[in-house]
Amino acid sequence: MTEPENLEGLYRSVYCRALYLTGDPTAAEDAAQETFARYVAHRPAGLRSPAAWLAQVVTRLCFDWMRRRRRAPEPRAELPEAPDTAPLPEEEAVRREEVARVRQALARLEPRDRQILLMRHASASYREIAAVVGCAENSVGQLLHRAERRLKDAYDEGEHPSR
Amino acid sequence: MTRVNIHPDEGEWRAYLDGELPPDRLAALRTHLSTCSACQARLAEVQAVSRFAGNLLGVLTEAAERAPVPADRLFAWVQPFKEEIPMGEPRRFKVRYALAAAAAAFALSLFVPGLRARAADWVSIFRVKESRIVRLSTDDVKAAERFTQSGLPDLILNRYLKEQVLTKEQSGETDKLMDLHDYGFTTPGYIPAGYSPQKGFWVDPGARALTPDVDGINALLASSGSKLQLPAELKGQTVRVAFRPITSFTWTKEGKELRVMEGEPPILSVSGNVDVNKLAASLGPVFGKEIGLSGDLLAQIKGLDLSSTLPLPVVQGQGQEVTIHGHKGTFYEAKGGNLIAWMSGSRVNLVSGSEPLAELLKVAESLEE
Repeated sequence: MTEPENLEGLYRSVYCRALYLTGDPTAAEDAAQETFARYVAHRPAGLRSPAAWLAQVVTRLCFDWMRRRRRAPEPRAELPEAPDTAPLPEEEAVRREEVARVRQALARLEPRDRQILLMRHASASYREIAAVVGCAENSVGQLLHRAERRLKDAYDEGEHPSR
Repeated sequence: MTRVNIHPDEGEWRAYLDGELPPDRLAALRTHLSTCSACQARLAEVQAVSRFAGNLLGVLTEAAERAPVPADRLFAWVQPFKEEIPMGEPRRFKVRYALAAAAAAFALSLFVPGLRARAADWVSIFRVKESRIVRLSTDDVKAAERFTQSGLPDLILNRYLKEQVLTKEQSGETDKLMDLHDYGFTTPGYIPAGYSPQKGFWVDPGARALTPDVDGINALLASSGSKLQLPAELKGQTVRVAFRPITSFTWTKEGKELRVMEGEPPILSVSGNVDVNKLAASLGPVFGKEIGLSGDLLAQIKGLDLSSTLPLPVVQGQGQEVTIHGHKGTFYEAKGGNLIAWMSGSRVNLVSGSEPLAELLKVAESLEE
Protein backbone atom coordinates (compact mmCIF):
# COMPACT_ATOMS: atom_id res chain seq x y z
CA MET A 1 0.00 0.00 0.00
CA THR A 2 1.46 3.34 -0.89
CA GLU A 3 1.63 5.75 2.03
CA PRO A 4 -0.89 8.56 1.81
CA GLU A 5 0.82 11.80 1.12
CA ASN A 6 -1.06 13.92 3.59
CA LEU A 7 -3.03 13.69 6.78
CA GLU A 8 -6.36 13.79 5.03
CA GLY A 9 -5.17 10.96 2.87
CA LEU A 10 -4.45 8.93 5.97
CA TYR A 11 -8.00 9.27 7.24
CA ARG A 12 -9.33 8.74 3.77
CA SER A 13 -7.48 5.47 3.29
CA VAL A 14 -8.62 4.19 6.68
CA TYR A 15 -12.21 5.15 5.97
CA CYS A 16 -12.10 3.68 2.48
CA ARG A 17 -10.65 0.44 3.71
CA ALA A 18 -13.46 0.17 6.26
CA LEU A 19 -16.05 1.01 3.61
CA TYR A 20 -14.60 -1.58 1.28
CA LEU A 21 -14.74 -4.26 3.96
CA THR A 22 -18.09 -3.48 5.51
CA GLY A 23 -19.96 -2.00 2.54
CA ASP A 24 -21.65 0.28 5.06
CA PRO A 25 -20.77 4.00 5.25
CA THR A 26 -21.96 4.38 8.85
CA ALA A 27 -20.05 1.35 10.02
CA ALA A 28 -17.03 2.59 8.11
CA GLU A 29 -17.15 5.96 9.84
CA ASP A 30 -17.50 4.32 13.24
CA ALA A 31 -14.60 2.03 12.52
CA ALA A 32 -12.42 4.88 11.26
CA GLN A 33 -13.17 7.04 14.29
CA GLU A 34 -12.54 4.18 16.69
CA THR A 35 -9.27 3.46 14.95
CA PHE A 36 -7.96 6.95 15.47
CA ALA A 37 -9.30 7.08 19.02
CA ARG A 38 -7.31 3.93 19.76
CA TYR A 39 -4.23 5.48 18.26
CA VAL A 40 -4.55 8.36 20.66
CA ALA A 41 -5.28 6.08 23.59
CA HIS A 42 -2.39 3.69 23.03
CA ARG A 43 0.04 6.11 21.45
CA PRO A 44 2.27 3.45 19.95
CA ALA A 45 5.79 4.76 20.03
CA GLY A 46 8.35 4.58 17.29
CA LEU A 47 5.97 3.49 14.57
CA ARG A 48 7.65 3.17 11.20
CA SER A 49 4.39 3.21 9.37
CA PRO A 50 1.38 4.61 11.17
CA ALA A 51 -0.63 3.96 8.03
CA ALA A 52 0.04 0.23 8.32
CA TRP A 53 -0.81 0.23 12.02
CA LEU A 54 -4.04 2.07 11.39
CA ALA A 55 -4.90 -0.23 8.49
CA GLN A 56 -4.45 -3.26 10.68
CA VAL A 57 -6.60 -1.86 13.48
CA VAL A 58 -9.43 -0.77 11.23
CA THR A 59 -9.38 -4.15 9.47
CA ARG A 60 -9.75 -5.98 12.79
CA LEU A 61 -12.56 -3.66 13.81
CA CYS A 62 -14.32 -4.45 10.55
CA PHE A 63 -13.96 -8.16 11.16
CA ASP A 64 -15.49 -7.67 14.59
CA TRP A 65 -18.35 -5.83 12.98
CA MET A 66 -18.84 -8.62 10.46
CA ARG A 67 -18.84 -11.19 13.23
CA ARG A 68 -21.39 -9.27 15.24
CA ARG A 69 -23.61 -8.69 12.28
CA ARG A 70 -23.09 -12.05 10.62
CA ARG A 71 -23.58 -10.09 7.48
CA ALA A 72 -21.62 -10.42 4.31
CA PRO A 73 -20.53 -7.20 2.62
CA GLU A 74 -22.64 -6.21 -0.29
CA PRO A 75 -20.71 -5.33 -3.41
CA ARG A 76 -20.11 -1.63 -3.35
CA ALA A 77 -22.08 0.41 -5.78
CA GLU A 78 -19.89 2.74 -7.74
CA LEU A 79 -18.48 5.29 -5.33
CA PRO A 80 -19.21 8.88 -6.30
CA GLU A 81 -16.40 10.20 -8.38
CA ALA A 82 -15.37 13.80 -8.00
CA PRO A 83 -16.79 15.98 -10.75
CA ASP A 84 -14.13 16.01 -13.33
CA THR A 85 -14.27 18.41 -16.18
CA ALA A 86 -10.98 17.34 -17.69
CA PRO A 87 -11.08 14.44 -20.13
CA LEU A 88 -9.86 11.19 -18.68
CA PRO A 89 -6.45 10.11 -19.76
CA GLU A 90 -6.53 6.75 -21.42
CA GLU A 91 -4.74 5.09 -18.57
CA GLU A 92 -7.38 6.25 -16.12
CA ALA A 93 -10.22 5.17 -18.38
CA VAL A 94 -8.71 1.72 -18.71
CA ARG A 95 -8.26 1.51 -14.96
CA ARG A 96 -11.88 2.39 -14.30
CA GLU A 97 -13.04 -0.19 -16.76
CA GLU A 98 -10.98 -2.81 -15.06
CA VAL A 99 -12.36 -1.84 -11.65
CA ALA A 100 -15.89 -2.11 -12.98
CA ARG A 101 -15.17 -5.51 -14.45
CA VAL A 102 -13.80 -6.83 -11.18
CA ARG A 103 -16.74 -5.41 -9.28
CA GLN A 104 -19.14 -7.09 -11.62
CA ALA A 105 -17.37 -10.40 -11.19
CA LEU A 106 -17.48 -10.07 -7.43
CA ALA A 107 -21.16 -9.17 -7.52
CA ARG A 108 -21.92 -12.45 -9.26
CA LEU A 109 -20.62 -14.48 -6.33
CA GLU A 110 -22.55 -15.73 -3.37
CA PRO A 111 -22.31 -13.42 -0.37
CA ARG A 112 -20.30 -15.95 1.60
CA ASP A 113 -17.76 -16.33 -1.17
CA ARG A 114 -17.40 -12.57 -1.32
CA GLN A 115 -16.93 -12.35 2.38
CA ILE A 116 -14.25 -15.01 2.49
CA LEU A 117 -12.37 -13.44 -0.39
CA LEU A 118 -12.42 -9.92 1.01
CA MET A 119 -11.42 -11.10 4.47
CA ARG A 120 -8.55 -13.23 3.23
CA HIS A 121 -7.38 -10.45 1.00
CA ALA A 122 -7.40 -8.23 4.06
CA SER A 123 -5.09 -10.78 5.75
CA ALA A 124 -7.66 -12.35 8.02
CA SER A 125 -6.54 -15.63 9.57
CA TYR A 126 -8.47 -18.79 8.90
CA ARG A 127 -9.66 -18.65 12.49
CA GLU A 128 -11.06 -15.14 11.98
CA ILE A 129 -12.71 -16.15 8.76
CA ALA A 130 -14.22 -19.23 10.37
CA ALA A 131 -15.60 -17.14 13.23
CA VAL A 132 -17.30 -14.72 10.86
CA VAL A 133 -18.49 -17.18 8.27
CA GLY A 134 -19.56 -19.75 10.82
CA CYS A 135 -17.67 -22.80 9.65
CA ALA A 136 -14.92 -25.09 10.91
CA GLU A 137 -11.45 -23.67 10.69
CA ASN A 138 -10.16 -26.63 8.72
CA SER A 139 -12.74 -26.09 5.99
CA VAL A 140 -11.71 -22.50 5.28
CA GLY A 141 -9.03 -23.58 2.81
CA GLN A 142 -11.56 -25.42 0.68
CA LEU A 143 -14.09 -22.60 0.84
CA LEU A 144 -11.41 -20.08 -0.02
CA HIS A 145 -10.10 -22.00 -3.00
CA ARG A 146 -13.62 -22.47 -4.36
CA ALA A 147 -14.41 -18.79 -3.91
CA GLU A 148 -11.21 -17.83 -5.73
CA ARG A 149 -11.99 -20.17 -8.57
CA ARG A 150 -15.53 -18.80 -8.84
CA LEU A 151 -14.22 -15.26 -8.92
CA LYS A 152 -11.80 -16.13 -11.70
CA ASP A 153 -14.54 -17.87 -13.64
CA ALA A 154 -16.92 -14.95 -13.15
CA TYR A 155 -14.25 -12.54 -14.32
CA ASP A 156 -13.40 -14.65 -17.37
CA GLU A 157 -17.08 -14.99 -18.15
CA GLY A 158 -17.45 -11.25 -18.00
CA GLU A 159 -14.58 -10.75 -20.42
CA HIS A 160 -15.88 -13.33 -22.83
CA PRO A 161 -19.59 -13.71 -22.16
CA SER A 162 -20.95 -16.97 -23.49
CA ARG A 163 -23.83 -16.58 -25.88
CA MET B 1 6.80 -37.96 10.85
CA THR B 2 3.25 -38.32 9.65
CA ARG B 3 2.94 -40.21 6.45
CA VAL B 4 0.54 -38.82 3.94
CA ASN B 5 -1.57 -41.73 2.77
CA ILE B 6 -3.81 -39.83 0.39
CA HIS B 7 -3.14 -36.89 -1.86
CA PRO B 8 -4.31 -33.66 -0.18
CA ASP B 9 -7.22 -31.92 -1.85
CA GLU B 10 -7.18 -28.34 -3.16
CA GLY B 11 -8.54 -27.03 0.12
CA GLU B 12 -5.62 -28.37 2.04
CA TRP B 13 -3.14 -27.11 -0.55
CA ARG B 14 -4.76 -23.73 -0.23
CA ALA B 15 -4.24 -23.81 3.51
CA TYR B 16 -0.68 -24.99 2.86
CA LEU B 17 -0.06 -21.87 0.78
CA ASP B 18 -1.30 -19.69 3.64
CA GLY B 19 0.66 -21.60 6.25
CA GLU B 20 -2.58 -22.36 8.01
CA LEU B 21 -1.85 -25.98 8.87
CA PRO B 22 -0.50 -27.53 12.05
CA PRO B 23 3.30 -27.71 11.88
CA ASP B 24 3.50 -31.49 11.62
CA ARG B 25 0.90 -31.55 8.86
CA LEU B 26 2.77 -28.80 7.04
CA ALA B 27 6.00 -30.78 7.24
CA ALA B 28 4.27 -33.94 6.03
CA LEU B 29 2.86 -32.18 3.01
CA ARG B 30 6.22 -30.69 2.20
CA THR B 31 7.76 -34.11 2.17
CA HIS B 32 4.93 -35.54 0.09
CA LEU B 33 5.29 -32.72 -2.41
CA SER B 34 8.88 -33.58 -3.06
CA THR B 35 7.93 -36.99 -4.43
CA CYS B 36 4.51 -36.49 -5.98
CA SER B 37 4.35 -34.73 -9.34
CA ALA B 38 0.55 -34.88 -9.41
CA CYS B 39 0.36 -32.89 -6.19
CA GLN B 40 3.02 -30.50 -7.44
CA ALA B 41 0.77 -29.76 -10.41
CA ARG B 42 -2.27 -29.46 -8.18
CA LEU B 43 -0.51 -27.03 -5.84
CA ALA B 44 0.66 -24.96 -8.81
CA GLU B 45 -2.88 -24.72 -10.08
CA VAL B 46 -4.26 -23.71 -6.65
CA GLN B 47 -1.54 -21.10 -6.41
CA ALA B 48 -2.26 -19.73 -9.89
CA VAL B 49 -5.96 -19.34 -9.10
CA SER B 50 -5.13 -17.73 -5.77
CA ARG B 51 -2.76 -15.24 -7.40
CA PHE B 52 -5.27 -14.39 -10.08
CA ALA B 53 -7.99 -13.73 -7.51
CA GLY B 54 -5.53 -11.75 -5.41
CA ASN B 55 -4.68 -9.52 -8.35
CA LEU B 56 -8.34 -8.87 -9.04
CA LEU B 57 -9.00 -7.95 -5.45
CA GLY B 58 -5.90 -5.80 -5.47
CA VAL B 59 -7.49 -3.75 -8.24
CA LEU B 60 -10.52 -3.17 -6.05
CA THR B 61 -8.56 -2.32 -2.93
CA GLU B 62 -6.51 0.18 -4.80
CA ALA B 63 -9.62 1.72 -6.30
CA ALA B 64 -11.31 1.78 -2.93
CA GLU B 65 -8.41 3.61 -1.35
CA ARG B 66 -8.36 6.17 -4.10
CA ALA B 67 -12.08 6.77 -4.15
CA PRO B 68 -13.03 10.35 -3.41
CA VAL B 69 -14.89 10.63 -0.16
CA PRO B 70 -17.55 13.26 0.09
CA ALA B 71 -16.46 16.16 2.26
CA ASP B 72 -19.26 15.69 4.74
CA ARG B 73 -18.11 12.15 5.36
CA LEU B 74 -14.56 13.24 5.84
CA PHE B 75 -15.48 15.83 8.40
CA ALA B 76 -18.22 13.85 10.10
CA TRP B 77 -15.57 12.29 12.23
CA VAL B 78 -14.81 15.65 13.73
CA GLN B 79 -18.15 15.68 15.47
CA PRO B 80 -17.23 13.68 18.57
CA PHE B 81 -14.29 15.93 19.22
CA LYS B 82 -16.16 19.14 18.67
CA GLU B 83 -17.48 19.26 22.18
CA GLU B 84 -13.99 19.15 23.52
CA ILE B 85 -12.84 22.08 21.51
CA PRO B 86 -14.58 25.19 22.70
CA MET B 87 -16.34 27.18 20.06
CA GLY B 88 -17.26 30.00 22.36
CA GLU B 89 -16.96 33.70 21.94
CA PRO B 90 -13.50 34.97 21.21
CA ARG B 91 -11.87 36.15 24.34
CA ARG B 92 -10.96 39.76 24.57
CA PHE B 93 -7.30 39.62 25.11
CA LYS B 94 -5.06 41.87 26.91
CA VAL B 95 -3.59 44.01 24.23
CA ARG B 96 -0.20 42.38 24.20
CA TYR B 97 -1.77 39.08 23.33
CA ALA B 98 -3.97 40.78 20.82
CA LEU B 99 -0.81 41.71 19.03
CA ALA B 100 -0.06 38.08 18.54
CA ALA B 101 -3.60 37.54 17.39
CA ALA B 102 -2.91 40.27 14.94
CA ALA B 103 -0.25 38.12 13.41
CA ALA B 104 -3.08 35.85 12.45
CA ALA B 105 -5.55 38.52 11.62
CA PHE B 106 -3.54 41.33 10.17
CA ALA B 107 -3.18 39.85 6.77
CA LEU B 108 -6.37 40.00 4.86
CA SER B 109 -5.91 39.05 1.31
CA LEU B 110 -8.12 37.83 -1.39
CA PHE B 111 -7.20 35.43 -4.06
CA VAL B 112 -8.26 36.39 -7.48
CA PRO B 113 -8.35 33.30 -9.63
CA GLY B 114 -5.71 33.53 -12.24
CA LEU B 115 -3.33 35.66 -10.29
CA ARG B 116 -0.09 34.15 -9.27
CA ALA B 117 -0.14 33.41 -5.59
CA ARG B 118 1.90 35.88 -3.62
CA ALA B 119 1.29 36.54 0.03
CA ALA B 120 0.87 40.23 -0.72
CA ASP B 121 -2.01 39.48 -3.04
CA TRP B 122 -3.88 37.25 -0.71
CA VAL B 123 -6.84 37.90 1.48
CA SER B 124 -7.27 35.56 4.36
CA ILE B 125 -10.06 35.51 6.80
CA PHE B 126 -9.71 34.02 10.16
CA ARG B 127 -10.11 35.02 13.71
CA VAL B 128 -8.78 33.82 16.95
CA LYS B 129 -11.25 31.83 18.97
CA GLU B 130 -9.27 31.18 22.04
CA SER B 131 -5.86 31.65 23.42
CA ARG B 132 -4.46 30.22 26.57
CA ILE B 133 -1.18 30.20 28.30
CA VAL B 134 -0.23 26.66 28.98
CA ARG B 135 2.75 24.93 30.34
CA LEU B 136 3.97 21.68 28.91
CA SER B 137 6.88 19.56 30.01
CA THR B 138 9.62 18.57 27.60
CA ASP B 139 8.12 15.08 27.65
CA ASP B 140 4.87 16.49 26.39
CA VAL B 141 6.75 18.38 23.77
CA LYS B 142 8.49 15.21 22.66
CA ALA B 143 5.19 13.35 22.58
CA ALA B 144 3.65 16.08 20.49
CA GLU B 145 6.60 15.94 18.15
CA ARG B 146 6.05 12.25 17.78
CA PHE B 147 2.47 12.92 16.85
CA THR B 148 3.33 15.45 14.23
CA GLN B 149 5.79 13.09 12.66
CA SER B 150 3.40 10.20 12.75
CA GLY B 151 1.11 11.70 10.18
CA LEU B 152 -1.77 11.54 12.58
CA PRO B 153 -4.68 13.75 11.65
CA ASP B 154 -4.11 17.12 13.15
CA LEU B 155 -7.39 17.26 14.98
CA ILE B 156 -6.40 14.28 17.06
CA LEU B 157 -3.16 16.04 17.86
CA ASN B 158 -5.04 19.10 18.91
CA ARG B 159 -7.26 17.07 21.17
CA TYR B 160 -4.27 15.40 22.73
CA LEU B 161 -2.58 18.73 23.26
CA LYS B 162 -5.68 20.12 24.84
CA GLU B 163 -5.85 17.19 27.20
CA GLN B 164 -2.30 17.83 28.16
CA VAL B 165 -3.02 21.48 28.62
CA LEU B 166 -5.85 20.82 31.01
CA THR B 167 -3.85 18.25 32.92
CA LYS B 168 -0.85 20.45 33.26
CA GLU B 169 -2.82 23.47 34.27
CA GLN B 170 -4.41 21.47 37.02
CA SER B 171 -1.22 19.95 38.26
CA GLY B 172 0.77 23.16 37.91
CA GLU B 173 3.73 21.49 36.21
CA THR B 174 6.01 23.95 34.62
CA ASP B 175 8.87 23.51 32.29
CA LYS B 176 8.19 25.43 29.19
CA LEU B 177 5.75 28.18 28.55
CA MET B 178 3.68 27.82 25.43
CA ASP B 179 0.72 29.40 23.82
CA LEU B 180 -2.03 27.43 22.25
CA HIS B 181 -4.07 29.09 19.59
CA ASP B 182 -7.18 27.98 17.86
CA TYR B 183 -8.04 29.60 14.63
CA GLY B 184 -11.18 28.97 12.76
CA PHE B 185 -12.46 30.24 9.52
CA THR B 186 -15.81 28.62 9.54
CA THR B 187 -17.83 26.03 11.34
CA PRO B 188 -17.17 23.19 11.43
CA GLY B 189 -13.66 24.08 10.34
CA TYR B 190 -10.60 24.14 12.52
CA ILE B 191 -7.05 25.12 12.02
CA PRO B 192 -5.56 23.17 14.82
CA ALA B 193 -2.08 23.62 16.12
CA GLY B 194 0.87 21.35 16.00
CA TYR B 195 4.26 21.67 17.55
CA SER B 196 7.90 21.53 16.65
CA PRO B 197 10.63 21.90 19.24
CA GLN B 198 12.52 24.36 17.09
CA LYS B 199 9.69 26.72 16.46
CA GLY B 200 6.99 26.01 18.96
CA PHE B 201 3.40 25.49 17.94
CA TRP B 202 2.41 25.49 14.34
CA VAL B 203 -0.79 25.38 12.42
CA ASP B 204 -1.12 22.41 10.21
CA PRO B 205 -0.87 23.16 6.52
CA GLY B 206 -3.35 21.81 4.10
CA ALA B 207 -6.19 22.83 1.97
CA ARG B 208 -9.79 21.89 2.31
CA ALA B 209 -12.74 22.48 0.14
CA LEU B 210 -15.60 23.82 2.18
CA THR B 211 -19.02 25.13 1.42
CA PRO B 212 -19.21 27.78 4.08
CA ASP B 213 -22.36 28.24 6.04
CA VAL B 214 -22.51 31.90 5.16
CA ASP B 215 -25.56 32.64 7.27
CA GLY B 216 -24.16 30.77 10.22
CA ILE B 217 -20.78 32.45 9.97
CA ASN B 218 -22.30 35.87 9.59
CA ALA B 219 -24.53 35.27 12.59
CA LEU B 220 -21.49 34.23 14.57
CA LEU B 221 -19.55 37.26 13.47
CA ALA B 222 -22.45 39.59 14.17
CA SER B 223 -23.04 38.15 17.60
CA SER B 224 -19.47 38.86 18.51
CA GLY B 225 -19.86 42.42 17.32
CA SER B 226 -17.71 42.06 14.27
CA LYS B 227 -18.30 44.33 11.31
CA LEU B 228 -17.12 41.59 9.00
CA GLN B 229 -19.85 39.92 7.02
CA LEU B 230 -19.35 37.47 4.21
CA PRO B 231 -21.25 38.41 1.07
CA ALA B 232 -24.30 36.40 0.15
CA GLU B 233 -22.69 35.45 -3.14
CA LEU B 234 -20.56 32.99 -1.24
CA LYS B 235 -23.55 30.83 -0.45
CA GLY B 236 -23.33 27.49 -2.10
CA GLN B 237 -19.91 28.20 -3.48
CA THR B 238 -17.05 25.88 -2.89
CA VAL B 239 -14.37 27.71 -1.05
CA ARG B 240 -10.94 26.37 -0.88
CA VAL B 241 -9.17 27.39 2.26
CA ALA B 242 -5.49 26.76 2.48
CA PHE B 243 -3.92 26.87 5.87
CA ARG B 244 -0.28 27.62 6.05
CA PRO B 245 2.04 27.00 8.90
CA ILE B 246 2.01 29.59 11.61
CA THR B 247 4.46 29.29 14.39
CA SER B 248 3.86 30.84 17.71
CA PHE B 249 6.16 30.91 20.62
CA THR B 250 6.03 32.81 23.85
CA TRP B 251 8.44 32.91 26.66
CA THR B 252 9.06 34.94 29.74
CA LYS B 253 12.15 36.91 30.28
CA GLU B 254 12.74 38.52 33.61
CA GLY B 255 9.06 38.77 34.28
CA LYS B 256 8.24 40.19 30.89
CA GLU B 257 6.57 38.23 28.18
CA LEU B 258 7.65 38.06 24.60
CA ARG B 259 5.78 36.49 21.76
CA VAL B 260 6.92 35.42 18.36
CA MET B 261 4.72 34.39 15.54
CA GLU B 262 5.74 33.58 12.05
CA GLY B 263 4.02 31.94 9.16
CA GLU B 264 1.97 32.37 6.15
CA PRO B 265 -1.53 33.64 6.46
CA PRO B 266 -4.30 31.32 5.41
CA ILE B 267 -5.50 31.78 1.92
CA LEU B 268 -9.06 31.92 0.84
CA SER B 269 -9.74 31.14 -2.74
CA VAL B 270 -13.21 31.38 -4.06
CA SER B 271 -14.52 29.59 -7.06
CA GLY B 272 -17.68 30.25 -8.91
CA ASN B 273 -19.39 33.52 -9.54
CA VAL B 274 -18.26 35.40 -6.52
CA ASP B 275 -17.66 39.04 -7.10
CA VAL B 276 -14.22 39.34 -5.69
CA ASN B 277 -14.40 43.10 -5.61
CA LYS B 278 -17.61 42.97 -3.63
CA LEU B 279 -16.00 40.64 -1.18
CA ALA B 280 -13.08 42.96 -0.76
CA ALA B 281 -15.45 45.89 -0.36
CA SER B 282 -17.35 44.09 2.37
CA LEU B 283 -14.13 43.72 4.28
CA GLY B 284 -13.34 47.39 4.02
CA PRO B 285 -15.33 48.50 7.06
CA VAL B 286 -13.25 46.20 9.21
CA PHE B 287 -10.19 48.16 8.40
CA GLY B 288 -11.77 51.51 8.01
CA LYS B 289 -10.50 51.76 4.48
CA GLU B 290 -10.76 50.16 1.14
CA ILE B 291 -8.91 46.93 0.85
CA GLY B 292 -6.85 46.73 -2.26
CA LEU B 293 -6.47 43.44 -4.02
CA SER B 294 -2.82 43.86 -4.24
CA GLY B 295 -0.27 45.85 -2.41
CA ASP B 296 2.25 45.56 0.24
CA LEU B 297 1.10 43.14 2.87
CA LEU B 298 2.83 45.02 5.57
CA ALA B 299 1.07 48.17 4.59
CA GLN B 300 -2.17 46.46 5.50
CA ILE B 301 -1.14 46.42 9.11
CA LYS B 302 -1.52 50.15 9.22
CA GLY B 303 -4.89 51.43 10.19
CA LEU B 304 -6.05 48.18 11.69
CA ASP B 305 -8.59 48.91 14.33
CA LEU B 306 -8.58 47.22 17.69
CA SER B 307 -12.10 48.32 18.38
CA SER B 308 -13.34 45.82 15.89
CA THR B 309 -13.91 42.53 17.58
CA LEU B 310 -11.41 40.94 15.35
CA PRO B 311 -8.65 41.58 17.80
CA LEU B 312 -6.36 43.77 15.81
CA PRO B 313 -3.69 46.09 16.99
CA VAL B 314 -3.74 49.80 16.66
CA VAL B 315 -0.56 50.92 15.13
CA GLN B 316 0.42 54.51 15.10
CA GLY B 317 2.18 56.30 12.39
CA GLN B 318 3.89 54.89 9.39
CA GLY B 319 6.20 52.64 11.25
CA GLN B 320 9.95 52.61 11.02
CA GLU B 321 11.75 50.64 8.40
CA VAL B 322 14.12 48.05 9.77
CA THR B 323 16.20 45.29 8.28
CA ILE B 324 16.38 41.80 9.64
CA HIS B 325 19.29 40.04 8.09
CA GLY B 326 18.59 41.50 4.71
CA HIS B 327 14.82 41.27 4.93
CA LYS B 328 12.90 44.50 4.89
CA GLY B 329 10.65 44.90 7.86
CA THR B 330 8.71 47.52 9.73
CA PHE B 331 8.69 48.42 13.37
CA TYR B 332 5.48 49.75 14.82
CA GLU B 333 4.62 51.16 18.14
CA ALA B 334 1.30 49.80 19.13
CA LYS B 335 -0.89 50.33 22.13
CA GLY B 336 0.51 48.32 24.96
CA GLY B 337 3.31 46.84 22.95
CA ASN B 338 5.64 47.06 20.03
CA LEU B 339 5.71 45.10 16.88
CA ILE B 340 8.15 44.15 14.18
CA ALA B 341 6.74 42.57 11.07
CA TRP B 342 8.66 41.38 8.07
CA MET B 343 8.46 38.93 5.27
CA SER B 344 10.97 36.35 4.24
CA GLY B 345 9.88 34.86 0.97
CA SER B 346 6.19 34.22 1.33
CA ARG B 347 6.43 33.87 5.06
CA VAL B 348 5.09 36.52 7.35
CA ASN B 349 6.94 37.05 10.59
CA LEU B 350 5.90 38.97 13.62
CA VAL B 351 7.64 39.70 16.86
CA SER B 352 5.80 41.64 19.47
CA GLY B 353 6.29 42.58 23.06
CA SER B 354 6.83 45.32 25.52
CA GLU B 355 10.53 45.39 24.76
CA PRO B 356 12.05 48.32 22.96
CA LEU B 357 13.01 48.12 19.33
CA ALA B 358 16.62 47.08 19.90
CA GLU B 359 15.55 44.07 21.91
CA LEU B 360 12.82 43.02 19.51
CA LEU B 361 15.29 43.34 16.68
CA LYS B 362 17.67 40.95 18.38
CA VAL B 363 14.88 38.44 18.71
CA ALA B 364 13.85 38.92 15.10
CA GLU B 365 17.39 38.50 13.90
CA SER B 366 17.81 35.33 15.89
CA LEU B 367 14.90 33.87 13.95
CA GLU B 368 16.48 34.64 10.66
CA GLU B 369 19.82 33.14 11.46
